[in-house]
Amino acid sequence: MDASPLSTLSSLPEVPGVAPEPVTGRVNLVVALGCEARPLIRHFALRQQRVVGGLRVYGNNRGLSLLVSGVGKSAVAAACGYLAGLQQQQSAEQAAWLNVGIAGHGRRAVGDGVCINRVTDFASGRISYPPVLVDPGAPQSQLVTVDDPETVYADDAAYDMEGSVYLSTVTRFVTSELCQLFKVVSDSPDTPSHSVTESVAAGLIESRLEAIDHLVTRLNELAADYNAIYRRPEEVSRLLERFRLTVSQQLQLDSLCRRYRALTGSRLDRQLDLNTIGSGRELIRRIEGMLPLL
Amino acid sequence: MKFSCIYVEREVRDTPRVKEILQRVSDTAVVTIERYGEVFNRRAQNFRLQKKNPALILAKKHGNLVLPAPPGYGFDADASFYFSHMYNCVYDCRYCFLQGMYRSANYVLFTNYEDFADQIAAAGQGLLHPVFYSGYDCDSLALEPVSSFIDFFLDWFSAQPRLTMEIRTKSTQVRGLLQRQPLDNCIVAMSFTPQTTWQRWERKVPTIEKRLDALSRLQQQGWPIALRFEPLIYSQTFRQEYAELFATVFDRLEAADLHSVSLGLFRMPKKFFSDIATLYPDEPLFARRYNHRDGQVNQLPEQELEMQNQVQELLFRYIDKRQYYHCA
Ligand code: SF4
Repeated sequence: MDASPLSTLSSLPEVPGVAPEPVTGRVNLVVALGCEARPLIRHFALRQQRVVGGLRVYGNNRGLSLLVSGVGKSAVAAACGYLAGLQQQQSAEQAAWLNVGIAGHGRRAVGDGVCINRVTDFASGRISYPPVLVDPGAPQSQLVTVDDPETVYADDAAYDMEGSVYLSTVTRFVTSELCQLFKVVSDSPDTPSHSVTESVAAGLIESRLEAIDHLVTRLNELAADYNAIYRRPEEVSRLLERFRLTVSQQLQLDSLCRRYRALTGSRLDRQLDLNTIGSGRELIRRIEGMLPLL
Repeated sequence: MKFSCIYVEREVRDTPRVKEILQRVSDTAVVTIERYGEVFNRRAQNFRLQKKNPALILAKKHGNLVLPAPPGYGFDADASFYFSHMYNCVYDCRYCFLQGMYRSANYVLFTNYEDFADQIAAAGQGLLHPVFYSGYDCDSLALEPVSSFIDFFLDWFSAQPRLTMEIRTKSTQVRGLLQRQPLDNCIVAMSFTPQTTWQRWERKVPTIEKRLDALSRLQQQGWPIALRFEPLIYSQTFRQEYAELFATVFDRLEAADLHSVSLGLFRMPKKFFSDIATLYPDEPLFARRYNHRDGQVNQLPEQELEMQNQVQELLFRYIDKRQYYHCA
């Protein structure tokens, strides 16, 4: 798409003086432009939570965050890295990520929504394959991320200016199954990008809200499943507050607590008389002795 | 059969077999790739999440396509080999070692069947009665409606009576076999575990009843069939469970006509086990106590011995000892 006539933040609602709130969304929406964000903010009832150096993060209390990254690879890398880092500090929970935006396309009609199954970084030639685990009922497409607005649309692919770096940045933080891209076609060989105004871009995103909503819901479920499986058991944190353990003992404790839960369905710390345990080593030994055979 | 996406290696994209396969799944998005490893071996993958909606990868297998079978695998034979035309399985058995072997749950189907056939012929040269096991890294039949793999190899083995193929499966996709004359040198080996194990750990696997139904039809038609009771997973009620399973199985099948029957214990390489346990931290099967020895994870020796002996004893009530082997 030709992003140049559209500005990142101009059309976003200003919410001055909002105090920062913890950002712990289970789904992070990433858009490049304010006009792409607008229908999403309205649809998901998001409120501005943070403004950091021109970056805006919106959120709701149902675990959804929205990040307006700005246009281009370095902007999206910085923005995604910032949000992922922030969320990692605040919570061990993993979020799913969804990049939503308008894009040019070599074959598809303006207004079509597509899920991205292959991303080529045009400059480096690097190719990635985001797994399309969640199917919103939209067709799939390849995506080519270009450094300058695309005018030729040579391939049967979508064209944007952020996708490849969004993917490579986010998959440093989360497993690739939790990272997807959804594009709405805004320009094509027959409909050049200079005709895409902010209101046109907003309208295009608006027209695909049903698919985006479906993706967000399913990704939210996926992230919830993931976190339910892999989050550190509460009892581990509790025991770590009480005992000083080496790193390898901490790993052992984590594994033993999980195994105990898996085998008995209950928390191990409830069965332990912590006052009778003097050291980390003794704690590990006692727990090992408590594990049932089957 | 539904796939989240189909990746096709450029090298095989225009081959007649791949074109046919793509016609069978024409409503799925197709992406061209250079080598299957780009998708299959990439970093940041979670097998467990991927298993919810796997993709199909169509590729060409290079190098050694036919390998010597591990010691103790399979029945007595002149020489044994295995080959894998596919990586991963449409079923989802929690105990399956493939979850620890591969990072990805996507299915890789190698479509250069002719190359497999050439290498099977070469491996079998000069041997009296070599056996070739299919279904080591996958289920041989489960993807048959898409792959037509068995169809190809039944044709091929029908012209090679000196060579034997074992088709290891839990699938009931036997229509293709039933539509042709039985081949003495192609054995359908079906795996079974007791009902409780099936319920607990064998997701998407057809019921015991359905598998028996398929086997019984094959047997009646004259196909050599074999039974693989594996993996034996210890439980306090295993004796009762196996007694019931054997009663059910041998009520439906003619024991005397079975090609072979085997038992195999649940065990796997330590690396696979620890990767699977990390993937499924909530799964009691991997939380149990095991014996870790020589890079292998085994059930506790007393459990193994008790189970092996008792299940064997139950089995010998139905079959002749000469039909039996223990799979290492
Ligand atoms: S049927 Fe066999 S190959 Fe398939 S998941 Fe089960 S154990 Fe693994």
